[in-house]
Amino acid sequence: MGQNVSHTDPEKNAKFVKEFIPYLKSLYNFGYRLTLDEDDANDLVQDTYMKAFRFYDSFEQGTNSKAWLFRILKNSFINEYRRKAKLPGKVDYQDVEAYYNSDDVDEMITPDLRVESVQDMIGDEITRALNSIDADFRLAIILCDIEGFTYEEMAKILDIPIGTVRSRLHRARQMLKEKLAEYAKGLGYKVEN
Amino acid sequence: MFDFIGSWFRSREKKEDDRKKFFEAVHLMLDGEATPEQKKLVMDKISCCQFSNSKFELEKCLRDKLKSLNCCKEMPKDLDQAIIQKLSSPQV
Repeated sequence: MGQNVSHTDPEKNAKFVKEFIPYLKSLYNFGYRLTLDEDDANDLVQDTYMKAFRFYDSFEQGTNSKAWLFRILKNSFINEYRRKAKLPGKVDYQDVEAYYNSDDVDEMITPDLRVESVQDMIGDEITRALNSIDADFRLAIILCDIEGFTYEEMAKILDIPIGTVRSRLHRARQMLKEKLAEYAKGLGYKVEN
Repeated sequence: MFDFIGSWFRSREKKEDDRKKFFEAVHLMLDGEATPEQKKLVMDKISCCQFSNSKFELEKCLRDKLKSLNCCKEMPKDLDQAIIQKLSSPQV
């Protein structure tokens, strides 16, 4: 179990910078992949660092500082940026999750995407497919496949049980494959439903 | 007759259950979260079943593609300095 930190201001400042600034690039990428806008990502990251600094005294030293920062950014995104950006008529996340958590959705109804079609896709197509899926599912893929967090770390960042991490990841990948299958068709690959 | 139908349903249920276990194990293995038993299940299956092997390769390829996206976005040059400056300001 870690210990809470308590410092004088200059010491706190120096320790904070040394400990958290190395994650800046990773955090900016995460922010960009969530907001899909450079300025919003910039604001979100700065806001995250300010919040982290304000609550630094409650950070338990020795615990995962990267996961802590990612959690703050995720919460800021959900509480502020997504609320602002939510468009009228947008499909509700609960509806999407309810559909994708139903027993009817599994590997077999995913279009028969083939490895060679995915191999031929360039980064832009994968990025477009990833960006087109709902933010909560995109979050799961980014944290696991791009940032390499473990299920346990993801559970802490997302505030959900490990079982839910697994099912959300599973559904997210199904959604991604459906999008990629559409692109594969566009590339002339035969995709069976 | 009823025995035949019952056994057909049981066999179908077992196949479905095995298939779900396999896919679950594939995801866990590629995420580095599988148990040794789950790894063995995947390796045994992909070595003898073409369909399972192609599904495994597809999942592996997808993850490799996603990992390659990590270094794509250029961060604003002065972002670190902007943050450090903000941290030093009295309003924080």
